[in-house]
Amino acid sequence: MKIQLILILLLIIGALLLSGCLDSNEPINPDTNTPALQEVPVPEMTIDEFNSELDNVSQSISEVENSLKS
Amino acid sequence: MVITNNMKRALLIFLLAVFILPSIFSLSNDWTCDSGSSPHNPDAQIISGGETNIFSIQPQEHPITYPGGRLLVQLNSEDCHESILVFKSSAGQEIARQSELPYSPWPNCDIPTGYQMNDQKHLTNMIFNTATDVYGPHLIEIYNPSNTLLASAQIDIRNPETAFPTIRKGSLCNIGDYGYPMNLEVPYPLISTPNTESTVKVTIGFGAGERQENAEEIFDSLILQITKGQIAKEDLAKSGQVSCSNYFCEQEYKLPEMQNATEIIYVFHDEGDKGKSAIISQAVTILKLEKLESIDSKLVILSNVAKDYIARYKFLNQVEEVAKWEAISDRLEALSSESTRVISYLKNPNFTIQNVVDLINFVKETPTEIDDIKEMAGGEKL
Repeated sequence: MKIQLILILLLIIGALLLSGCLDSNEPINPDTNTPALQEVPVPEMTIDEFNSELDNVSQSISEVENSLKS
Repeated sequence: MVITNNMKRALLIFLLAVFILPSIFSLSNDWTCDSGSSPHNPDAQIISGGETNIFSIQPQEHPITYPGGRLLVQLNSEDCHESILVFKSSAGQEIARQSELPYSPWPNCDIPTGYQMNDQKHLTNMIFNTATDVYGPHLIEIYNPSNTLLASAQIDIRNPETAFPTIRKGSLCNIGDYGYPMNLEVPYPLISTPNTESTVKVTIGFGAGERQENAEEIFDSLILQITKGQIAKEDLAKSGQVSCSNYFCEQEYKLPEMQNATEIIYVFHDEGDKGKSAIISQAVTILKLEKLESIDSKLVILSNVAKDYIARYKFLNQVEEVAKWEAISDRLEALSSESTRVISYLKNPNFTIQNVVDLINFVKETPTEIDDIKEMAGGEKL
């Protein structure tokens, strides 16, 4: 019995290895170049938010400039 | 009751002590002040006929003068004509000249016949490059097209590396038999922070020095006030003691923390029951350092966001985007390091004119730099 169970397990592992599911060197989706288990870094702001924050800085600087002229 | 001789003597001594001696030895309460005649006031002097009245000579963007700076000269004339400004060294050697037409509906002075001017005067605004890299006293002269000298003024070009940026407003006060030049000295800009005490200074000239014993008494009769908004005024408390050098004595006054960009400081003479009379008034430019610090921290955040984009596009292997965001990051880091540098200088109570010039350049150039960065970043979304 034990030998049969070991043989069945070996068969299952062999089948899985052949299908590539246990090979960590291969990507999950071979159509993309993205490595598995890593995500694309997402910046804290969208570019629109980035531009809007730049506008705020510009506005604050204008206020400083006006106060220096007053 | 019998009044003895001793009692009479005592009464006489009492009257002398209380009423007569103080009036002999104290300063006269008769003050007359003229803000136009102080020898320490750099205002322009009108030297002919009153035809042209220079009512302002000051740098265009800020009221401090430094080599290579610019002046805004405002002339107010009853007659319409071109004005010529000549800038000279203190030895009288011409350095630069510039002419301007009046800023009016008739800049060429072709006023329609019969037009009623109704006391309208002809204003000429002249933005003038001081065109010197030599500091020290210089002369400004204003001429009409017939080469008639209308007005002259002295202007001091200060060494920006060492001079503290101060605006000085003066008045010459006659107290009794003596004249006392009085000046109010205010830093430009006045840096306001919650933790730092800002001060302004009043200096009084005492001639040869023997009259300095009156200094305490004169300062005690001054009241300094600063406006807080449209209506309110607040008294300024003295900071430290009166200190005297050879010819001048000075007293510092503490300023409260202020919210507005501009306020006015008044120096009054306390006239007791009669109230108080203004001797000097001067606008104060207030710069809240918190505002600059907030800009600085925003620039740091934006610089970090640019680094996030570099990481993102490196990950996606988009070489052009990486190069673009690296350039954006570099420019934001340069702005951030400049703002940090300017703030650190202004936190030092002995900041110089050059530090203020750096601040002015930073606030002038940064909006253009930000426009460029926005154009580089584009408008796409993640």
